[in-house]
Amino acid sequence: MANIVVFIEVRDGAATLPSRYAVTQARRVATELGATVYALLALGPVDDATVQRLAGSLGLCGADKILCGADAALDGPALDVYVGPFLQAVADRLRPLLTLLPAGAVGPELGPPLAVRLAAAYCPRATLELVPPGAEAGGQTRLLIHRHRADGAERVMDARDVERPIVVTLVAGTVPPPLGEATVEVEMLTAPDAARQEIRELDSGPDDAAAFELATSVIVVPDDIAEETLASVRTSAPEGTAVVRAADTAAQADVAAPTRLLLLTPDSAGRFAPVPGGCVLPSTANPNEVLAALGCKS
Amino acid sequence: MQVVIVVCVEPTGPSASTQAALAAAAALGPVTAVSAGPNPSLGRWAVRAVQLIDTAIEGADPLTLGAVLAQAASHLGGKLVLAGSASGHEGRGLVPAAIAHHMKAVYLARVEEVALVDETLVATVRAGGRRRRMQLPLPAVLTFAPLPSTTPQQSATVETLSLAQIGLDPATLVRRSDALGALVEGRARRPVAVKSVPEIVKRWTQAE
Repeated sequence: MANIVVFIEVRDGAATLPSRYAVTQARRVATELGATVYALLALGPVDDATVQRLAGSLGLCGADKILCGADAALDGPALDVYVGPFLQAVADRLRPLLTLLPAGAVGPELGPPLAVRLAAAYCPRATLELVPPGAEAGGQTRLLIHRHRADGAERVMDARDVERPIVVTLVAGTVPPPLGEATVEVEMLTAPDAARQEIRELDSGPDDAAAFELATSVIVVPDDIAEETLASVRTSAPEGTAVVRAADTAAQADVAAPTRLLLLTPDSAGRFAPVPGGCVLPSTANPNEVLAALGCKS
Repeated sequence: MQVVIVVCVEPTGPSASTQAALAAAAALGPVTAVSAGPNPSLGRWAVRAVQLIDTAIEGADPLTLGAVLAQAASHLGGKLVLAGSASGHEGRGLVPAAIAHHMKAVYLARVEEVALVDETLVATVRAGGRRRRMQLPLPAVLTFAPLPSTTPQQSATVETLSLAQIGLDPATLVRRSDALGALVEGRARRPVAVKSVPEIVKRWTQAE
């Protein structure tokens, strides 16, 4: 049976929304094509209750099995220097046809090196499409991988035509109602020795663009919006919606892959890559009225 | 001893992220720019500019280009390789990762700031929801986020080297087809300017 591995990014003790979305996409593909979905956690030392809680949330998204490394060698952000060898070890064991990475900076960080190590095809900013069997397809459902280039063009890859593993970084999408069970098998793995003793995090501070990077919906507001208004709007915005000032979008605009993008400062449109399959709405309407109408209270 | 800093520049010219890499490199020290293919403009951005020209790399896949550029960096004494996070073409960021693989170097993507003290590298990245300063060993391959940057203008003479001249036997290159998929017109919808609030809400909701 074919395997699909989904790398899970954990922030603040929970799987990110794009990670959970990636599991739901893997479930959708696996159900149609007959594959097993492995959700892969790379954590520092954590207790069993934390592992079980994370596993439960991923089981509900449709994971068949959780693979978990909870090791000091994996502690820290999802950087290739920390988790790259672990990802490769899992791939060497499971030989997945498809490895999915969630939207955000984790894609360009982990995707290219993994694809190189596996000699895999690599599709960043991608969406997955299942094409029902037709006469020309020989009675089998086909998996098409749509890669949305920054210039607006699109590459479409038929997974059947690729005689090597495929590594995919998905766009950010919304998580549907539960697709699986909260009780799911967990296998603990040991992490391979990495050269991390030579790598040290000196210090860190908050990343103001973090929510923007992972958002499924982005609303870009004028730079002169009042701080208290912005704070209020952010608090009331639905899960996965990032409300950002235009000036604060430069840092992560190349990795943000929302489904919906509303530009209440239309002159910032050129900063964003095309939104895959979604909508981009530049508007000169009153920002406060629009935010209120979308349920973001100021 | 001064660390040789190599920046990989696309033959078609630097993408926005490669320009950020060139600017960061120039702040660290003298830059050697390398292009896997003809790039007559390469001297603009470096004190040394090397274009690799060889039939063996014409139309080569990213992994092959990575192997060639890794060998070029080693030949030039480079321990620190900087590149854009994505080319302006397919934009997958595979070449820098392949360079790191072949150099057995540390790889860090989408760096925003970098400093080099002796042979200790300190790079700032956004990862896991925080901005982090990481201390890394050399050799290292860093890619840069496409942030606005200004690159000092240089006027180096562009040297041309073949693979044999950088110590690489073209016969040892294992070229493979690049799995790109078919190129189609993008389905990403074009921006639709909307003025009325109800229309915005309608379109926003429909896009869920």
